[in-house]
Amino acid sequence: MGIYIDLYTILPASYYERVRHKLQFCIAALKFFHEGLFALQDAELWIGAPSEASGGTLKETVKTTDPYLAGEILEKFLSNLPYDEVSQSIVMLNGVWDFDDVKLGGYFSVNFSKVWRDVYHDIEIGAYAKKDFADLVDILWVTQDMESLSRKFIAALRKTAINRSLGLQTMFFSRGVPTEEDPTNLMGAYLHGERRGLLRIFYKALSKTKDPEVASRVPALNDTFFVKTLAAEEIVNERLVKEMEEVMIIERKGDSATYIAKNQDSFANLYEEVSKTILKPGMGKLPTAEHVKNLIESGLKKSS
Amino acid sequence: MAFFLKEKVPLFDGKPPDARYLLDDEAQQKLLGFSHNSFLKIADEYDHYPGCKHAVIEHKSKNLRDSVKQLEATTKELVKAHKNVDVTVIVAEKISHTESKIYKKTKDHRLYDKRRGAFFQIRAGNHFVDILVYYTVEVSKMWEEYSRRLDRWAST
Repeated sequence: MGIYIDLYTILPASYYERVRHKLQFCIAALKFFHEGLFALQDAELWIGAPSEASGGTLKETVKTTDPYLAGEILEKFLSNLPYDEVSQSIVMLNGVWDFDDVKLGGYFSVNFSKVWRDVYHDIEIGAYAKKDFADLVDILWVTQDMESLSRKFIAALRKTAINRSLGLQTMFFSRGVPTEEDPTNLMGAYLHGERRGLLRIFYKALSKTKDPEVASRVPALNDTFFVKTLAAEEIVNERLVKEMEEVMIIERKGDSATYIAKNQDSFANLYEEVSKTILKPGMGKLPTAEHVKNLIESGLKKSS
Repeated sequence: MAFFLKEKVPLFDGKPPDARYLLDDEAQQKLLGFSHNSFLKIADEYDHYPGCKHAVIEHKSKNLRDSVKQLEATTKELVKAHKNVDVTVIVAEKISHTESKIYKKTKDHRLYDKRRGAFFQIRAGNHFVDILVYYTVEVSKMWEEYSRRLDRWAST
């Protein structure tokens, strides 16, 4: 729990090449925090799941405190495994987060296994909960200048993408695993599509609520079309910018943007405001799914 | 001490634990015979319940994968220190929609792996123990019922 990263394919490459590049991304992320905040203790390669209790098998342990050496050994090991095993594997780079007074066990993990990737993303950076710190993000926000740290971290990962087959798609700083239905756990996000990316997150969450006004319209609505239409409206941008700047620090770069919460409730407040002032009004005059269904049926009857 | 007041543990057979070790406290870890540096990936509590049931408990879980690893590492430390573990427990607000792709809480509170079609279990020496999941609202209800029982008993 903490930082969740997803990558996307920039250049065509073989499966093993992409595995290597994904691992290199993780090592680059680890290197960014290494010696300052995180000290590597060992690296593990699991097959099936990242623990015995979850039915996983520990295939390899690398005892080293050097991230590059760990990366090299794991890379070699993965390249010699059959596809069936690599596609079920999870790499755990274990170590200690050191925030002066507070030390937490933590990890950088790369999920090559699809089932684990669907839940915990391509790369997960986390810490094991302890006392008042339920999450890595909690302690980062208390002890670090997150505006500066996130900017440098994202820049470091974007640089990693140069000459590789993968690029940085999204990054979430989240208290617990990010979930579509609840964006209030978010503390930060790096997204493509600038405001459209953020609107999409809030729309997805709203679309999963039981609000009858929303639930009756969502089934007949194409989310990409809806979000794209909203994002193109000047009035939406005016409202969004006003609301966002009150609760977040925003850094734009090209078509992407980084949103950093000023406090724990920033995303919750913004989600509430965006729902109230943009998404629900935008949806208000749309036909309900029932109405669309009736129109389809009556159209069919007329033509017969 | 504030921890005791803040975090409620599940009751077993309607009874609360009669001894609680808070594993964030290094002194209590030493008392249990944990090895040096083991505090980094450790669960929150090790409790003894009436009927000689020993439970390892992780509170406020926000990531089930981490919680399972913490319970597993703690059980390993306890077994190494010749302590019994009969059950492990995760207390969570809920299982999120995302994590529910892998995890399911059964009616008897056991943590089920949808992927494998099997229960999550932790090796404790020569046997395996279950991982139970209780939602905080369920734990609160257990304590309310316990408190009502105490009141009834006191009034008779």
